[in-house]
Amino acid sequence: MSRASWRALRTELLRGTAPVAALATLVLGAVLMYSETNSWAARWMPFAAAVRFSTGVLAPIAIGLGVWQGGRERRRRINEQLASTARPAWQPLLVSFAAVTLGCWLGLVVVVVAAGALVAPVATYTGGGWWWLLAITPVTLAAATAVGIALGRAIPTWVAAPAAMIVGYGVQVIAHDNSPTGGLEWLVPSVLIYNAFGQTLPGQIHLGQALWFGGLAATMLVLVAARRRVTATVPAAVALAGATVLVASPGYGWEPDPVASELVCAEEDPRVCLLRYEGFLLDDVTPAAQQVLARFEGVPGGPSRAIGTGYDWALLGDEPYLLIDTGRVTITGDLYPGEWLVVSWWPTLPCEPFDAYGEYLWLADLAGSWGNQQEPDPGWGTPELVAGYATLTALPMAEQQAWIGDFIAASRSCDRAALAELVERVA
Amino acid sequence: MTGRRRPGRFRFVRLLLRARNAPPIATGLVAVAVATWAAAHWLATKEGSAGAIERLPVAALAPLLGAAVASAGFPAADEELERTAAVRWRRIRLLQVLLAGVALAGALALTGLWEPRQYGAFELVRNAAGTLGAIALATALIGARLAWLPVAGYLLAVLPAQPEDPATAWWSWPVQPWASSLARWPAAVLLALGAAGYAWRGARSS
Repeated sequence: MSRASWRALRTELLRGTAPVAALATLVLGAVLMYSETNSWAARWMPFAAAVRFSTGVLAPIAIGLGVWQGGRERRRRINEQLASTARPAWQPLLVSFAAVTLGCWLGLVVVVVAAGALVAPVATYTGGGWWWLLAITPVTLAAATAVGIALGRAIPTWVAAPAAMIVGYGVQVIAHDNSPTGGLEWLVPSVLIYNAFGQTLPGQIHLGQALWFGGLAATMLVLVAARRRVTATVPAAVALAGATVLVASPGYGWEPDPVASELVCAEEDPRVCLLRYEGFLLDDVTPAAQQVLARFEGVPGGPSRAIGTGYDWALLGDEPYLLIDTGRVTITGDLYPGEWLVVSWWPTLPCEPFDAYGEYLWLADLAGSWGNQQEPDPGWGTPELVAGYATLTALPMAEQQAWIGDFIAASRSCDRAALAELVERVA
Repeated sequence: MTGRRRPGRFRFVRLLLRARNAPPIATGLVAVAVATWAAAHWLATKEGSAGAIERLPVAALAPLLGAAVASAGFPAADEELERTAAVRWRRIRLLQVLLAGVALAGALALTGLWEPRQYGAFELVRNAAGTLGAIALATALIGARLAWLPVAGYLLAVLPAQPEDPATAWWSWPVQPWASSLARWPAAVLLALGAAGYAWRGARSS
């Protein structure tokens, strides 16, 4: 770009739509990230997904501002004057596009840096390629701005900007709600956060999105500024290639991240383990989980480990375990104050035929209630469960533990005779 | 004298309506109403839909689009020149906001008569009042040029959050059901503030 173009860009950045874009992106990005704090705090991949989630709003805003910028010369009635100057058409267009896009980027960078500074000191897992998810974000905003500028040049009406913004938002919602195979949702900027827990995205998704959004931006700009519009076929082909990769992606894109889902355990016994990506909570949950585990000391075959939700239970085989549901976390990666940390035990009863399962399921509920120290509510518990809990807890602790141990042994093989005897003992 | 004044007043109204883009605004409101009905119908009847309650995004965003259309009449072609005329502009501007509100709310309400209290006519009217008031207020404060932007940003930020806690209704009023009485007050206050602000100051020159 020439020196004149740099000067024009500087003026645009200081006095044009760019400051509005920066302020809107900063305020909305901060509000959206703050409202989703519980989803991304202290975890990098959910953090990157949350930034992309916020583009569900930021990209429509960028489209709206792009439309506004694109129609500015016409509103000011200076388009003919600009057209008569001895400058190629792409130069003022590029200045307009760069100004709005840089404004959006600036607002986004502030939000990302501030939120990232909160994640960095706490996060316990840095892998999974989360930075690629984050790196595509500016490309999506650039594409949104370019689409907006093209629309602003093409549609000379007052309401084009808010209408384009609403349509941009609606398209993203529809793409996520109505994409049975998952391919279409990758064609829009926003990403759903809940998929990011313990998962990762293959490189082809990132590559496809870079090609799609980058190609889309270039196509729009070339269509507006090029003397021969046929040249837009080149970036359009790039965008199409990216879209093809995304739509043809098998499944819904996300894949389990085996490293993120590995167990990390507290050093002292009894063992308390969480998934690696939420290992930052280990110090907080260990005392509470060990307190519940202590109840099972002396129970033959009882659970000896407490493990966080989200683990692949098939890897544990028949090992009994306690389940840790950490609940919400604060922006600094602590357990949410005033909220229950749930450490629970849900014994299984793998009985077939089904009638045996139905007949003795209340015994599993009774054992679970004992383990969780949760007296059955007469409102939902069956009379035999309520009475059985009262009988069991009235026994000496050693006999209670022996009953639980016998239940674990009987339930594993669905030993109906042993289960019937256990009924007798709490009748 | 009386005979001469009447045609003059009528001519003034006719010119004012033309100067404030009344015909395209009316056409735009009809188009917004048709789009609102189509989007709401699709959301309520698509496969797997939970019914009328799925119209929430339409109840929040259609009033924004309609208010943006209606606000095209808020700025004068030449604000400074217009104010030199010996006319009671404050009354006229107040009347203009109220008429725009009635037209917008009426057009949108017609599209939500089915299950009107489940993100239908009631919520559309409430949100039309609040959104138009907010845009009118923004027009008076920052000018008509980008008056829709802060309102749109606010709505797009509230929409994904969709808080269910009734205590949040004072700030999440556009996404609350009609049953939430707390959500009606912010809309009414915004309409009152917007109408008063615009009537008092007009569109800020930008």
